[in-house]
Amino acid sequence: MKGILWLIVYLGLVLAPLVVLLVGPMPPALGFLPDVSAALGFAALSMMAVQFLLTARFRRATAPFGIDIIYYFHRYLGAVILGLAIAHPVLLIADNPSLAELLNPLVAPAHMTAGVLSTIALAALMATSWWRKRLGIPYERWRVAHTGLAIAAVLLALVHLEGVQYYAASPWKRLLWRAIALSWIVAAGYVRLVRPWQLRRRPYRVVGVTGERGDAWTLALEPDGHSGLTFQPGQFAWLTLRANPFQMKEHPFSFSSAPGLAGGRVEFTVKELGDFTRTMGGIRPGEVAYVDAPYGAFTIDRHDASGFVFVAGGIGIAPLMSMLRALAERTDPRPVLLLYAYRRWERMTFREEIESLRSRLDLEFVPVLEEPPADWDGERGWITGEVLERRLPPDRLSRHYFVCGPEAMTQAMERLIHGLGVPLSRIHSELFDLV
Amino acid sequence: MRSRIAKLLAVATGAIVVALALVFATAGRGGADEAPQAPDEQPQIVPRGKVVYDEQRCSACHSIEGVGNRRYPLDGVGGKLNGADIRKWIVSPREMNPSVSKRAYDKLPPGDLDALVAYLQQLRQK
Repeated sequence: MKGILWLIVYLGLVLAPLVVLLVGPMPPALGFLPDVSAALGFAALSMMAVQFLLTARFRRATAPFGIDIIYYFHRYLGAVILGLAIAHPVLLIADNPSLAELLNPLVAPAHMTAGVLSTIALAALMATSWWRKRLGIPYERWRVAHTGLAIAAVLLALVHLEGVQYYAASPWKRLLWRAIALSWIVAAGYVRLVRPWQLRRRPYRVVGVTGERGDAWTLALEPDGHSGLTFQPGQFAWLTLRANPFQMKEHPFSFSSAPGLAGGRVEFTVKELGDFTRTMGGIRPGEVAYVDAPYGAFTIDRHDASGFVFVAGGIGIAPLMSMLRALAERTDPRPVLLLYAYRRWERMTFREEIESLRSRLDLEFVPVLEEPPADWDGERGWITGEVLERRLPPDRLSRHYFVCGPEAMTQAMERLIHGLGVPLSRIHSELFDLV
Repeated sequence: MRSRIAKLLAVATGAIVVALALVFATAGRGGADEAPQAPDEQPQIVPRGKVVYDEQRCSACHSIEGVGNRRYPLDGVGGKLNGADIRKWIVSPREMNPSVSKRAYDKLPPGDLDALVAYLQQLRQK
């Protein structure tokens, strides 16, 4: 319900400038195609601006969906916006081919060139985001470039609008457009300045760095001079290490600890996979960290379940570990089946602790190994439909499923579990490969 | 599945926006048609307008059919602006756009101004 409300708020923000277009005295129509083009241009600009708000991590607005969906929404909207921005001149030129000249910076007025450059910036934004890994752009450099290109695209589009005027020509419409632009700048300022400043006032200290099986590290943090935060097991945080919050060097990681530990302690378990995670082992106790949390809707606490099935692949165990530990802390009597896929037994992160949790929980642990040892009599290979068929309990249809692993695995699991008759509303996952 | 939800939301948003753009272009635009005056009402003054255009060296900044400064083409201006707005653009351009750096031709004899406006009004897209 709340989700629908926020969707309406979003559409309102995006469409408000279009509605503004329709009220009050209007200059003569330009014709069907040019008018469609103008409206698409306005829409592209306002959607571009609202993109900043989508990734601004407003906790209340993102909570009903889970922030991962919002990020993906932001991502797909990028393609929609680029489509609108390209359609805008294409329709004009289709209506009057001589206008193609306005694309030529040598003869066109500056504000027309600003429009062209804005679209180019937008295209560059898209390319660097969709293919960041393929292009070999490090995450942190990408973030800086992404912000810079985004601001450039919006500012250039505003210059374009100021220059063209036409539908925004009357004084009060111009005032309104400036007010809209100002509100975007205020929002961006809030996200980039006020929020980092708030985070800075609530620092954390590293109190432990522990190596885990499978090249993973558990980082334990405690609040420094404040009471810490509360979260639901399975949620995640944006973590800043060896940087201040203004530098935009935060990375999203799932909590692996149960919530409510003494002293406000929180733990993250991170696998050495990328540039940032490889530095994890070098972090020393006493270092300062900043934790922007909680985020995400991937949690057992939001569903009224009679029992659970957890499916983990690799380091995807981290949020499920948080859930297992929380269930154990609460001496929750509900049954849990954990299917945990890994390549090799000796590298399986948390395997001892999971074994020991079986004494505190109604937990069935099914490791699935791709390269099992010679004497292995458990499941081998991948988690296939047959493995699920063999291992899922008789009450499989009424349990809630939490799947966390590489994206391809998550998708396959969703398909297989749904194929067994489990409604999609009981299958939960999270997209954590955001860019 | 979650990425599919996000994709669906994005596509739906795009569809709503495009639909609204179409509404904007088709509906509520009835008042627009009366704006440009019929150009053939004043045929005799149009040639005079062309002379004024040349005398005032408008082509230093503007082009018509590719002749003149192509930075600010006037082709089709009669289909875009009504007579009153064209007149304002000539006499007091800052009224149309306060930040424009265009000279105000506010000393033209009234007859010449009328002729120039009429000439520009009959420039329609072919």
